[in-house]
Amino acid sequence: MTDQKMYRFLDVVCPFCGLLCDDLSLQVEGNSFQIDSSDCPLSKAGFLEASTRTALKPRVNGKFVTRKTAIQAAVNLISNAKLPLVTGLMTDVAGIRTALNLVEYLHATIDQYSNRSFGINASHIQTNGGYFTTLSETRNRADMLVLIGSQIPKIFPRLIEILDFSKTDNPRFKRPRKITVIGEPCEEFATILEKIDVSVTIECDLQQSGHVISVIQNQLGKRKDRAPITHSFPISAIQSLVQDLEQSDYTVFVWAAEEISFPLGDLVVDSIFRLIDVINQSRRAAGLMLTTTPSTTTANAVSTWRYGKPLPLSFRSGGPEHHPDYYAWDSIINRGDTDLVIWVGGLDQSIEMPDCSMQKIVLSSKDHEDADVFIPIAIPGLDHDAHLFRTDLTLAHYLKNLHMNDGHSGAETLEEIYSQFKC
Amino acid sequence: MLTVIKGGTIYDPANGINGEVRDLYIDSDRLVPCPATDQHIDHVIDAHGMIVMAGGIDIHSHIGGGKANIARMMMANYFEPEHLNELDADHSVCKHAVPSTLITGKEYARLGYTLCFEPAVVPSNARQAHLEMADTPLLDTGGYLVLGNDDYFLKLLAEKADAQKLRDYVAWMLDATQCIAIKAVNPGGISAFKFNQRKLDVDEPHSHFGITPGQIVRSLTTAISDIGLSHPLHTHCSNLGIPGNFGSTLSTINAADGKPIHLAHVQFHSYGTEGKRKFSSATLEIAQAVNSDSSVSVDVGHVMFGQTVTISADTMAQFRTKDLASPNKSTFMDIECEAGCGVVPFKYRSKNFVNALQWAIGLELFLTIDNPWQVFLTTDHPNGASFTTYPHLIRLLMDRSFRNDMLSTIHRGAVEMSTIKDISREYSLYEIAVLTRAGPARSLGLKDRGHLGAGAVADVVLYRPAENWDTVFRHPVLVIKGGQTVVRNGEIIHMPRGRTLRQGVDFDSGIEKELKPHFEMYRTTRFSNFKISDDEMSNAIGSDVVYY
Repeated sequence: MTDQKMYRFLDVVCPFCGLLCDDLSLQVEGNSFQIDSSDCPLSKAGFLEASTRTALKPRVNGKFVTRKTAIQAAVNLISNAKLPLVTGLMTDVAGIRTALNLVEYLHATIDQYSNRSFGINASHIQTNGGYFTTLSETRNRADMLVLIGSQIPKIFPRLIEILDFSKTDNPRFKRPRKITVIGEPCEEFATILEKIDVSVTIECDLQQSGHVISVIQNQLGKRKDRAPITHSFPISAIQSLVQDLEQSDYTVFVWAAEEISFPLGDLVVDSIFRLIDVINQSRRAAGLMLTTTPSTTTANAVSTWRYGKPLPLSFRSGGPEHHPDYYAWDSIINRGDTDLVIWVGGLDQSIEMPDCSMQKIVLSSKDHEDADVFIPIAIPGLDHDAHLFRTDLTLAHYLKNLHMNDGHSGAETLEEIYSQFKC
Repeated sequence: MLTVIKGGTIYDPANGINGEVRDLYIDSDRLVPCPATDQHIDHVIDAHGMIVMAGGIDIHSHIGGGKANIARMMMANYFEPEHLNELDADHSVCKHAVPSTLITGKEYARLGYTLCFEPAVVPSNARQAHLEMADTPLLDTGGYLVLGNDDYFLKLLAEKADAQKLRDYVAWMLDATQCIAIKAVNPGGISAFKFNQRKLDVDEPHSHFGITPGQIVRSLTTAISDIGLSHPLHTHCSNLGIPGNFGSTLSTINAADGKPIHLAHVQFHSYGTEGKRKFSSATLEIAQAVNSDSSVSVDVGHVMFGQTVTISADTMAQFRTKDLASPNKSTFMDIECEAGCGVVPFKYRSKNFVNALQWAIGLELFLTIDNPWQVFLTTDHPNGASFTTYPHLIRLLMDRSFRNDMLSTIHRGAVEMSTIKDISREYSLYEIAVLTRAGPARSLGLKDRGHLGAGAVADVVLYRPAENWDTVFRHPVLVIKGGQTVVRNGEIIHMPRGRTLRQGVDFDSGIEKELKPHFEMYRTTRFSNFKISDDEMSNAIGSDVVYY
């Protein structure tokens, strides 16, 4: 906001995590703002950082230049590059549409910053499928929530509230709803446990959670009569969980893609869906995969409908090729398989662009002095209208401009660059 | 700019023109009457010897939305060049059963189609559906909103809410989601599956809400009639794919109480239980019901042999078939207390009895429903087959000799169970124009589409006659979209953005007061963020809205 008049915005969508909570009340006066409706630390931090931004200027080789000069410098770098990589993609539908146009034209490669963790889940859909659910379905149907990963309530501070599990005794359900947590004990978790009514906790290394889930599946399935093999985790807790599962009408298994992104995390995801399959033979269950940034789901949705494939994509040999590891942005940078990194930010306040020796064009809402070319862009949903996809891959939100800052969007900036090649 | 298409042989059923040689005039994006003799003609297109029709309209094709995108993702590496149809090698055109939006637009345009309707827009997924369709070039699009499994509607029905409130809710939802028609998918069944009911007959109560699919159909057809929507309830009946389901289909027609009803992909709902395999054709019963009631229309959802992927909001039916998945994988989703999604890859085989009989049942329906205005040409893309098989399907309808040749290649038991070999009917070009243009336009109330009269949108297709109707309809000579030539001899020469067709509706705004608290209590999105405005459609989604 450039004036000091006070503005009040209702039902604002928060773009700072994959949940895209859309019930914020914001009071904005000049550069200061107040969120009246939520204590979410991610929202507060995101809006605070956005509202205290200093005006950024384009740079070329660290020196301030006009926007036009910076655009031209970016065009020159791209023209001379042999293997450009577009990454970051912390942007909205429009930004991703334009980035894909540019990448196809340049025969470049494209990937989203957080895509590795999402990719484990996308690969599972591609090879096996799965049974998923959405936030409202969980809120209204689930009588049992199984959190796989103890960090979930920290990564998604409002998840339990959104799913209406803050109080497990809910008159809309015929018996008290239950929450089970499978994961590593941690300091924050003790605090979280105080706030939510967890019925069962299975403490284990998260990397072992796939094994735990397989044991649960065996207990539920035909091998129930077998004595459980001795494990490092408490078998009584598992038996208690199995009892709960057998009484549940609709169990939802929740995991954060980011937490399950360790090597062989795909086995954990696989075990979750196998368990869901077993339950669905006689009762009902589904999975809810959570992504930390809406840009990951957004980028993959657009990529899939535009090219029939999720990210990463490479157009080096013409048509889009998808290989989740070979074309992952970090693989490409690590093996030196690019000579120019084009970073598209916007919602990249809390992440750092990877350090690399290649030439860099950075479009971001925060300053990058070390970039060969830096062009400031606006924040989707705060400075301009934006479409973003929620974590459950179903709902796309339309975030209306809060006019927190003037400036060009990522899509506009990419289009300016792209238009130099088209003409 | 004034253009004349000179000397073409016109097939324009909406205006009663059956193969007459006439000139057509285009000014800007519309067809116009013959101008004064002294008016300068800027451009002449020689159409002598050509067949001329309006642009094709696909009344039921899954081209956008979450389930299509899941299907794309699941099948990304599964469609290398291969024959989509084992019966005819010429079919290996499209490499993917659910192509990307870009390919979809291009392939439809190459076949002479200019307008396409996504038949299953889930309310919470409407933005995505429109975003995808906006990224589908060369096609105007529209969507049918899926209702009848949403908690709010079912609750109103269970509470015996008055018809006015139901009507206002339906109208508000249609308006908020920028759709043109209402669809019911396995009415109540998707919801029932969430409560672990695995089957729901038309007169069987939902275990939680206590209402029946029949009641849902009755209320929705009444609401649609009260609102004044052009297209009747677009109905995916109960018990899809189950032998003996023709009874449910007939019961669904009865549930409409004489109000207009459209039966989607009726091929999948026309099965009997005769014969040693307990699977038979019940097209006689279905065709009789359609032939005796002009308020019933159908699209066929014909199957073709080869690899495809089935996508549907009908989680109950899709879950039932997951063990038949080929390749062996499937994805499902329970969606926002309003719908579901099931994606199951499937390969139809000509030597498989059931698949071969499904193929025959589709043809029987086309050939035994008398009035072409009551039947529309679809494969329920991609569920029965890709839309790229349409030229082949048209040949099957127009060429009995070819049809009989094909019969000799499929499972013998299926041939014996089918009446196809005894049916001599061959569709005429005029009738094909009804099935693929005039009929869908009339059913959807699109007065300026699907015909070549003055005032119509200038979507015009020129075909070169040949002995093989597949060749004719696969390779239009010229495709004109909104007055602009977009395809010439198979080559895309322009890729204009499409527009979104929707119906304008009125409703008592009092319904919003009731919906707001519902959204706050039950949904995880706010009421004010749910609605898609015309501005959003034009400026952010990328598709201008056209009201009908």
